[in-house]
Amino acid sequence: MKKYFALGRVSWENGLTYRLNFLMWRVRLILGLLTAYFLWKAVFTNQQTIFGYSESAMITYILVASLLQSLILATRSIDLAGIINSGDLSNILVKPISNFWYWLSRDIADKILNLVFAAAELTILFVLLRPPISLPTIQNFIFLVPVVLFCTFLYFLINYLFGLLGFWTPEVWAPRFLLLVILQFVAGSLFPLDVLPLSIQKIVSWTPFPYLIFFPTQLYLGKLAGPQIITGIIAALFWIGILTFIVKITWNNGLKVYGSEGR
Amino acid sequence: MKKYLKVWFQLAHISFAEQLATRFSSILFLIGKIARFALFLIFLVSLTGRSGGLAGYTADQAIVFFLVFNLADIMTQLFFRGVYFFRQKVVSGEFDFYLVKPMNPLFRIMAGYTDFLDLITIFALAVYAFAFFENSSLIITPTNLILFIIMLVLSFLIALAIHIIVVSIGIITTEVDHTIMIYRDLTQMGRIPVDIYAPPVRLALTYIVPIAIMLTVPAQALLGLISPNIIFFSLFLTSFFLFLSLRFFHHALSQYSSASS
Repeated sequence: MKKYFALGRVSWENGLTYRLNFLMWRVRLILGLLTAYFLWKAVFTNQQTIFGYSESAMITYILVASLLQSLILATRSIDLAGIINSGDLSNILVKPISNFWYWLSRDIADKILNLVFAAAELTILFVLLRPPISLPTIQNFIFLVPVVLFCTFLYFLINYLFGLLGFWTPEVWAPRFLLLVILQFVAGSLFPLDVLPLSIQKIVSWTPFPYLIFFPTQLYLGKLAGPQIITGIIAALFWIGILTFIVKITWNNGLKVYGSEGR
Repeated sequence: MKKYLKVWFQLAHISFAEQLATRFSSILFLIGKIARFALFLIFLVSLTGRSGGLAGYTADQAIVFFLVFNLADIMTQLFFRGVYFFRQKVVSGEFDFYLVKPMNPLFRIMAGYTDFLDLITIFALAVYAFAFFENSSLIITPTNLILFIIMLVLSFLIALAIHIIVVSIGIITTEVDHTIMIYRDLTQMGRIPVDIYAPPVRLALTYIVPIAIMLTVPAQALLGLISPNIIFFSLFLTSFFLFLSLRFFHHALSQYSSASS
């Protein structure tokens, strides 16, 4: 495990090396949050509730979703496909480390970096904007911690799988772009999925995406009854199981066709 | 002028050939662009349908803002996509070849990569817009339309100025990618009327990075919600911004030292 901690530490330091880059990236995230925040503030100018959310609940949703996004959707495994295409995967294969744990360590470091800065930014925004927010109950918070860990791992698996496409095609950015576009709307990071028409909600519920941001945020807000929480956790674990299996098969097949071109 | 048209067609032809060579990617990108438009539209329709409007505008008016945003955004990306590849030109020294050619380097930087998928997206946008205006209760007079076209041209010039600033920053610092994405994020704030933002944010979006002039004002012109003062102010601000951006570009060039070539 020591080597993976070391990898994580190096990944953390990498993230902070190009400070202007890092600063601009943080600015971008704040802009996205401000857009969502002001949009919902405007919606609630003449409304007490909408889609079953009070202003406090909706603003809390946006802020919590932003924080969770920094943890769950932050990733370094976006580089995996490029590593495979360039043949640099060979460097990892010849070392006594698992490629899966290599990328997981890097992801965890990136997520922690994101979380630290997102928490600081949200604190500053909270002081400046003084938004109405609600806090979770102790019971919901106890459930929230493992759920967030499951969601984090779920997204890592989705990303890792997309990265493994690099074994078969150099054109990985296009499917990833499509994934990011879809995620923006159906993971619940921009708005709660209750906003969408029922027919679309039903379709989306059959995918793993609502279990990334929407489900943990609903849990935070206390909008889920006990059975719904259990069902959601089972669904998240189901998707983790399915994706782990698919990742394993894809990795094994990918290694068979890997030619280390470029090395 | 003929020279620039000829070069633009040649570069566009090369870009098109590149996209045809990667058909799978191109199709997925196209699906992604249309999905992004459709999904946000569904969200906006759901939201404004339930709330009865947004920031004092009706549901239909809010959709007009979104359509105008898409038009301005697609037009900008169609003609200025070259900026996204500029960093590599600077670090590799290829930018030197742009500077020695008998052609404005800004033209070569910006117009180098025309994305034909954007043409298809504009077509899809036009089809939806036509259907929307046919079925909505909004009345668009010829005067509104003319004012809209004028404001759209100003919008295009502001986008040009911003891209020139991004290029200039790229020449000085080699940082282009995040700069241009910050611009994209700022324009995303213009998907909805900027009136929803707090006064300090609105001021910044009007005077510092004139997203309001770029996106909100053309939509207001189309809806007949614009005053002559706003028109003249937009004209003045656009001219001033463009002038500043060109001065900044010349300053950036004076700081440029080639990495290698």
